[in-house]
Amino acid sequence: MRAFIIFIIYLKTFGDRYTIAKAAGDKDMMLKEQTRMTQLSQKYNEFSKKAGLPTKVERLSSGISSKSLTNRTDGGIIKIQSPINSRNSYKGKPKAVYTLDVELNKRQKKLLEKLPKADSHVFVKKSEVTMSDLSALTAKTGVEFAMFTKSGKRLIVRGDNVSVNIDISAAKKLAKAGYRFTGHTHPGDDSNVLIASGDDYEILKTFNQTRSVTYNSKGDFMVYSLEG
Amino acid sequence: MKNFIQQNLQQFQKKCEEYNLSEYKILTAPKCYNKEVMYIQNPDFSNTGKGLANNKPADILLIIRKEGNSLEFEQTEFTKTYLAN
Repeated sequence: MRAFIIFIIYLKTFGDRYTIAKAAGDKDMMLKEQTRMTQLSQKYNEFSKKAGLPTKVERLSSGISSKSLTNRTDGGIIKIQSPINSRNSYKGKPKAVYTLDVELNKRQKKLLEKLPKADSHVFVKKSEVTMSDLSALTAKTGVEFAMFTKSGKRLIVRGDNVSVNIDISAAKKLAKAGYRFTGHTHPGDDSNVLIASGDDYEILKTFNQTRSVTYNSKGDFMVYSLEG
Repeated sequence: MKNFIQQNLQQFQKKCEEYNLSEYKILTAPKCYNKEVMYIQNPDFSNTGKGLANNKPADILLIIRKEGNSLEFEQTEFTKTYLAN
């Protein structure tokens, strides 16, 4: 995160110098500052790509007003008044939670409070949780979550770092009660963690479904299906 | 929603012919996939009963990747046994 702040500070500084040079009609200075901005932007784009974040400069620079950048203290040290506002737009996004330790959003935090440990379960409205939310919770906790849906209601079950405690017998009871198996999460960022197990397919058969999804900690997912 | 081999059926058929693999077996096999890669699998349905408590990936019979406009097949030790014509 410090790297982002430094990027923006330099971008803004070069930008300010460019503006001054333009006002003064100093073409050499304009070219020099423009080159610096281009080189820095390229480095910033590479960094953002590696961190899995959008590369639009405007999004990040909107978090720091030019006012706070010009509030200089002794020796030209720039004080940042508050964290980059645009960080808020990444709240709850699985990739950001996983790679940058960004916070969960309010809805996800509330859900996690109701799932404090392995085997905890909670019923919520369908509109209150998505598989992406479970991916964010997995990113935060490093454990698995499973989601079952019936009409306008969802059952969320918390697991541990290697499984969710829903065996075939429990799955049969849920299926009999009218639930569908929406999906589950696997901690990790490798696409290999998304490869279905034999028992994942067995669960599909139990629910008489043809497909479901598995999400990893970054929000990547795979569909798995019995056929087709 | 169609997966990427269903969307590129002609290419898929050509590849199956090239590798002497059964289109039907691949199309009807259990599989997991995203937009770029597909794992054709052979789950063991010997009813361990573990459900979501078991995370061991099912055997992979074939890996199909979408690279640009083309499909690439990556065979495994199980490909010929289960998917050959």
